[in-house]
Amino acid sequence: MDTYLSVQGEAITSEELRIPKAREVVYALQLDAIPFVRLVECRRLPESSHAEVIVFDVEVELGQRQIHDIHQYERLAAIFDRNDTTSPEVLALRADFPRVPHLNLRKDELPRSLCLFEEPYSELKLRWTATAFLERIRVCFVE
Amino acid sequence: MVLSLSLEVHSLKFTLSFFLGQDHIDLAAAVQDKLGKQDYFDVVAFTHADDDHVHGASEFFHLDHAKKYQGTGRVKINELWVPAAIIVEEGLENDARIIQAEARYRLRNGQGIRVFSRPDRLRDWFTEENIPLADREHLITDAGLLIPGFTKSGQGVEFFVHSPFAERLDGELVDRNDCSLVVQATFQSNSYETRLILSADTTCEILSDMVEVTKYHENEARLGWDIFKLPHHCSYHSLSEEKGEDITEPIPEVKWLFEQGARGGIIVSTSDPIPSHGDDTQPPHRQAANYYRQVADTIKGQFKVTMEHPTPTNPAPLVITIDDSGATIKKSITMGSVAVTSVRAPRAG
Repeated sequence: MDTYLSVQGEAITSEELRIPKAREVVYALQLDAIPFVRLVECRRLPESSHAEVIVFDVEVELGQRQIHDIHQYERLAAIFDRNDTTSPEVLALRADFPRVPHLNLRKDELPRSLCLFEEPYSELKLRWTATAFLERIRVCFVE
Repeated sequence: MVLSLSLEVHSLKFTLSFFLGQDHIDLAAAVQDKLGKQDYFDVVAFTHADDDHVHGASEFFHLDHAKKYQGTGRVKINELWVPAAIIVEEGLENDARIIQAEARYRLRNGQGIRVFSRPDRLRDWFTEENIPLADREHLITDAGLLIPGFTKSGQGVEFFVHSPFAERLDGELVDRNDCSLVVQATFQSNSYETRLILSADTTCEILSDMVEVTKYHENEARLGWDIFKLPHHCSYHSLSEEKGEDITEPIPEVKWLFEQGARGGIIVSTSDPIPSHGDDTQPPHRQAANYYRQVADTIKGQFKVTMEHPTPTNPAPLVITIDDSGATIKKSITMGSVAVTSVRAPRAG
């Protein structure tokens, strides 16, 4: 049984989300037509940031022989900036999630922050969609 | 419900596609789509003659034995694989009878066919046809042998036949499971091997005998697997005669067989979604599924049900690729979700 790191902030319903990209991702997660993803919960971080957090599970396209200890199901948290000035940060919540090659540097080692895109966010946001965002996250596990 | 499994070979990468034709999937269209412009299969195997395994075949395939089964759009079969029962059995009906006619036609002509059994099992049929058995023996493959025409170094795959097989009882050879074709395929990708077991509709009694015969001949490695296509659509009868309250406990040799799975192995139930409660007579049986889930957990593998993949409401062919990474189930979000990308989310506030 996997152990997950806890997510800060106040639990809110999906209807209480105010950040457009967070709402788009939750909407996509709740569509029955999108397989291999499942919404777990939504949260809002404290006063200082008002960032919103979507916690969700992904089912990974997992080869039999792996280099890193990636599991079939991984729990993630996507943090959305209120002003949409930075790319949504995606954290792997499994307590023993391995040190994979594409990680962002953070003050704390855990949870590990997945590095998903090479382009600057200013370019990326022009063609950003929730579905593509979710698929990019799943694909990064098999790269 | 009709199952079709297609195998494609692209250099050293193999693709297995499990199709289950039912309310949600037009099997003929799905298989045709997979073929693209190609109008033939190298090999088509009918594991046995039950209607759910041959239904619709006479409308889809180009059959050599009668003009009425020929014409534009039909898919040709270069080599037809059948167990001996499809040749010798009497009283087959509908598509099973038509496939039997095709198999007999090809066997009479001595081309485009491979029959699985010990050659003696077909002796009476050849006598009635006035064909010397020796003239057709090269088209018959017995259990315990590799199927001619496929090698790991050549095509990248070899097939070992487990069933139909014969057992010696009281000094006499007795044919077992001559109705059903069971094979282990071994795929070679560079230095890596990936093994697939296709088990048709085999019962636990036959599986148990099959394991014993294989052990007797010290061929245990031929029962190893990375992918296991479950027998009989997740029926408990393939594990034990006792269904169990919540889980089917397999009989010893069948338990041994399922312990031969490699880490990360994939168990495929070609069936309807697994019921969450109740005691249906017809498979899939939730008690059997619970056992297979337990096996998958033990080997850190996956238990997949074709009509639940990717979701029970939008099932699609289950595609497994085989390469240096072993077996991988394709899981693309874009599959079956084209409409999603064009739907805007509700505005906030």
